[in-house]
Amino acid sequence: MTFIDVTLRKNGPAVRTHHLLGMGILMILALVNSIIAQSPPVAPATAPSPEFLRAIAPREWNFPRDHGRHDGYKTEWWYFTGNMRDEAGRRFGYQLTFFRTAYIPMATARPSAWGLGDIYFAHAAVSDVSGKVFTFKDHLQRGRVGLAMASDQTLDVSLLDWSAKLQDGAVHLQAKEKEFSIDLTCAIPRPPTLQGKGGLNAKGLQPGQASYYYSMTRLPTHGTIETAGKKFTVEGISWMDHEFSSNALGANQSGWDWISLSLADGSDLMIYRIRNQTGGSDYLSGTQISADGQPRYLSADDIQLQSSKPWKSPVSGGSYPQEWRVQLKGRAPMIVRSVMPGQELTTPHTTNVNYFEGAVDVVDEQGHSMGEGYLEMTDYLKSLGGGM
Amino acid sequence: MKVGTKVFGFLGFLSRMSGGHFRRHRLEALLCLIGVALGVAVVVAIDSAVEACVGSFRGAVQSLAERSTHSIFASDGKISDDIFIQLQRQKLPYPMAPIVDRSVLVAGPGSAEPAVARLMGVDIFSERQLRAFTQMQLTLDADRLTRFLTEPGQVVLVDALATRLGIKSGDTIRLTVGRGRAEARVLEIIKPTGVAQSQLTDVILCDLATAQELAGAIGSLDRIDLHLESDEEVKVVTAALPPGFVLRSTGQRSSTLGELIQAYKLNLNALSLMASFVAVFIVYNSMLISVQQRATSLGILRCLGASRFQLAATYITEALAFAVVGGIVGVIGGWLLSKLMVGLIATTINDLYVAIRPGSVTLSLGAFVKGLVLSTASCLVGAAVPLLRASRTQPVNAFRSTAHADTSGRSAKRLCGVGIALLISSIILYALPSNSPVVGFVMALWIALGFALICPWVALQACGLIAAIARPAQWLPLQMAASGVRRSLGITGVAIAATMLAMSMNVGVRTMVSSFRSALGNWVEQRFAADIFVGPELLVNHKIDSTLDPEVVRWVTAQPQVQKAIEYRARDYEYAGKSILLSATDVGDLLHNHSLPMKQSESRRPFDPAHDVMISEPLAGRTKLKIGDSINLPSPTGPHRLSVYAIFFDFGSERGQVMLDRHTYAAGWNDDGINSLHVRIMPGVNPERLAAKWSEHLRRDYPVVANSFGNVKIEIMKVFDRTFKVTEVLTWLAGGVAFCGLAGSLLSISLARRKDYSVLSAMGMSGRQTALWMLGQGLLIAWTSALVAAAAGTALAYVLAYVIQFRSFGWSIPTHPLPRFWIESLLLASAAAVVAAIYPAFRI
Repeated sequence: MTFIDVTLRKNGPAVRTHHLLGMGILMILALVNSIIAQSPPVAPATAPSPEFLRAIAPREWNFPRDHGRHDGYKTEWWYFTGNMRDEAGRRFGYQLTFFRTAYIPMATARPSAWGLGDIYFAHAAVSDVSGKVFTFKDHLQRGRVGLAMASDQTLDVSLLDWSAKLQDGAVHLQAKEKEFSIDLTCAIPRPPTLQGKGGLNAKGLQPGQASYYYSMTRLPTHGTIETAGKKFTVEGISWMDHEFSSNALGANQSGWDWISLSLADGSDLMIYRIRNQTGGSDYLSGTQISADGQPRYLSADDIQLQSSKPWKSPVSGGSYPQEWRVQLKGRAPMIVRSVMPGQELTTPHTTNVNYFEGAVDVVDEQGHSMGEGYLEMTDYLKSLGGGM
Repeated sequence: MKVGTKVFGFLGFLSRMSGGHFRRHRLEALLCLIGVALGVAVVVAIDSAVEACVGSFRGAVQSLAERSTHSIFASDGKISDDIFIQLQRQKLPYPMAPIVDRSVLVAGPGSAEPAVARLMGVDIFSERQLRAFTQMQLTLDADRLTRFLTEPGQVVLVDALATRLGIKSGDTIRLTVGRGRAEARVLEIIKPTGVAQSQLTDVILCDLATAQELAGAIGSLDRIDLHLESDEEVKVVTAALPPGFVLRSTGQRSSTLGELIQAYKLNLNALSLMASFVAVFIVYNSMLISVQQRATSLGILRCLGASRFQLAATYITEALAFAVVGGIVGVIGGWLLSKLMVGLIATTINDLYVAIRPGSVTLSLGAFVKGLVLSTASCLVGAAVPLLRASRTQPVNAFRSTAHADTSGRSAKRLCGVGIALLISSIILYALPSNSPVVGFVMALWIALGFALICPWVALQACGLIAAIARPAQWLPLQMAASGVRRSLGITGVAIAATMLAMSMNVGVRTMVSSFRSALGNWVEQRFAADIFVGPELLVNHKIDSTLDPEVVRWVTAQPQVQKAIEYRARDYEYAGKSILLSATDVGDLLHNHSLPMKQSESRRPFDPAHDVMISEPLAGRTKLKIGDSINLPSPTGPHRLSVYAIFFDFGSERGQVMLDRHTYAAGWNDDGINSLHVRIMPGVNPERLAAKWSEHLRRDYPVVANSFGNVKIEIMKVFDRTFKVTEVLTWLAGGVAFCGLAGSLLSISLARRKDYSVLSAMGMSGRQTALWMLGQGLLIAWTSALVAAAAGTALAYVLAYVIQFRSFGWSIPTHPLPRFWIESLLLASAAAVVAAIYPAFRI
């Protein structure tokens, strides 16, 4: 999982404005309903609008159709991260994410093209690991032709001139900004991996506290990354997540940690932990994907997570752990380390939330490389002084 | 110290002397004060009222703009959605929001009269960095927010509008937008906070899509608002704009009204200054009288060793006392007056320019200071000559028994010479190459002053004439009146001049207004040579803003009573950096079959629809375009180079108008819309009844009105009369100022001659004869004033019409002398003289 739907955290303790500002990506979707509202959502919490569909049972998947937009669900996102290197070995991490939030389950046909059904926002970032520079940008647009849209037939999502498109069996990613640009092509060597039985990915113990979620891991990627005015031809591997749901998070849940790792042995690992209001673990799960793409779903009993080495953001004041000790049952522990601090996104043009999304290395306890990946941590502002 | 004590002690004595004098002459002092106060009040009132109107407009623009500093407009009025998308895709790093902003007629479910409001369609997501009051996510609950964003026809009203129309949350309202009607549901009544609360009184907010649908403006925006912080950013955005689009600052927009009404304001200010000018004469008159009355005392003081400086200081102190008291009373009076005037001025601005809703008039420090400066200036200027005279008082004056005639025939002649020189120089001024209306005001001032200086000489001649008539007939009171006026010409001359000034203003302004009125009437008659007008129901600022449904045009044209229906298209258009009116019709037919009021026209060849245009007189005046010149009009299909075929009179718009052939316009501007139909009907059909019938039929399905041109003309004349109401008020106020002056000086003259009366009475002069003498004096002054005022007023009317109005608005108004105003002012002055003579007659 990458993002979890907390779209309508509508009851329980009122979420106050200043909290929202620091609640991380988790809150993006809470905000979407009253976008940038900076005001407490008011409707009942886990009771979604009756019209929206919920992820309750496993579903049938049909690709490339299911790469596209899923009307009826309140939130949906397409998430690309990857670790790249140029010929000289200069290392880059990248992130390109598109979010869709629907106001109504099905857009009605209206004479004006501005007729609103959903809005889109997108975040992109480049970690220039060698240059120790992290650049990022966010945009928001209402869904309409020319501004932002997603196909309901295939992977074709765009916001202004940022896009992710499936063409000729590969995904083309583009995001051009003044400060950086991403122009990459990801090959798709194997079918998507469902994150849960029938793609149903639980976020809690209650029925309906779930999303539909699949990943395409270990995508051979090539193209160019431009940063600080220099263009680099790069190669590497990418990870793609596509997830949709309606109100998946419970009222007591707040913030999460998510790790995606492409390991040297050819397997992949995704682990997520949803925290409760007090910062403790509320739900822990994950998927181990073998080299041939077969998933093994992990439960909380299978995973041990431990964070350390907090880095305090000078921008948001959030304190993000830079190292995680991950131990799966019956396997040697892995140390997941952020390749550089400062991989924090602030999103003034979209949701005003701050979160950490950065490239990581995986090493064993002796320090030997075991692979690379991406780490996401949200809602760490509250933990200031509280000690994560 | 000792010397200082002496000096101050002496000055104290002098000021006690002044106080004593004014206590004895309370009424004169009061009249002088009223004169000064009125002069100040008029200026302050006009200033404050105009400022309240301009300020309310500026406030409304700024409240609507909030943080947006600039807006992108299309030169043809509509911005396609694609332009916004194109700009967004360029990712200019500045907050940018698409806006649909239309005037609408809104009616609630109740019986309240529909009101013109502003339908504002916004994209709340783009608005975040620009405006707070559009942040519906802060105002509406989640359910209503969703409906606001996703359901058609959902709107939010500001509380002021809702209260005015008796609309509640959940009500359905009816909107007339452009040529369509629509219904909308009120989701919520919002209360803007802060400054916006008093300014946002007529806003209906909705989502961009809803606004496009309600306004029938699918795919188009009215403007794009931006927040730009530097000239550099302005340059970047300007460079990014495709051709046909302009970037304007909000400041520019909020000063639009100031620019629009500049000429109107200048006219009002000038008239109010004329009232102050009259006040200067009154102060002069009053001070002069006081010098005369105290000639003996001043002579004695000089004998006792008072220096010229000390006497001058007394008069300066007196003048300043008048200035302060008159100024303060004037400012307060002006503020009260402005509360009355703001309504009149706002009505005119609403009628002619833009919709405003001025709040209460506040008395600003600026207005206070201005009022005091004005009163001080008029008092000091008015006191200058008397002051000189006082300081020149010789000790021998102490032994002269009464005030003497101090203006000899020679000095009257000399003043007359100066007056004539001023009149000639004002003619020279007119001949100078200038376009400024200010020159016109200087001319008017010189003419007024010139005639004022001629007054003593005319009075002298009138006295001679009266004496010559009265002497053989043995009419003693008349003889005495004539000699009385002549002997006290130093005082009466000024009174005559002041009265003349006020009356000439009255005659001049009313002659001009009356000429204008009849010119407008004739113009309307000729310009709209039709019987019935069919146009949209919604007029925005008295301008037609939307087009007629083609079905309406078809229906009207097919009516059996219709002889001919002339189709008009008129729209705002930007030409040479100014907004003008671009109108299109069948010009060839108009020229052939109708008598369009023409100033000048190409006579050698017929109108060529593809290559010719006609321009209005104000546009020709402003752009200096002549017959045969070519005019370049940018259009969506490229620039059109057309030749000026004719210049037509146009009192409809001071902005200027270009009229071209409909087919040329339709092809060049991709627009075959029609705003209005001017219909000629068969002879014998009653236009009022037919128009009513059409209205009834058409209004069932379309927001249109049909009205007879007879009624249209009445409406136009009503607007005209409303417009000049303020002017009328001003001229009467100036009259009031003059009345105070006239009464004051008559009083002084009469009281100064009490001793003469006693002697005459002892010699057997009856009370009736005394009264006749007083009245004769008054009437002589009044009639002389009226005589000169007739000439001066007519001259002023010509300057007002041919110089000031022409240079301000570009209109030439055929003006003729109108003797009825001369007679009116004669009667008025006579009445003032009678009233002013009664009091002294009783006192004596």
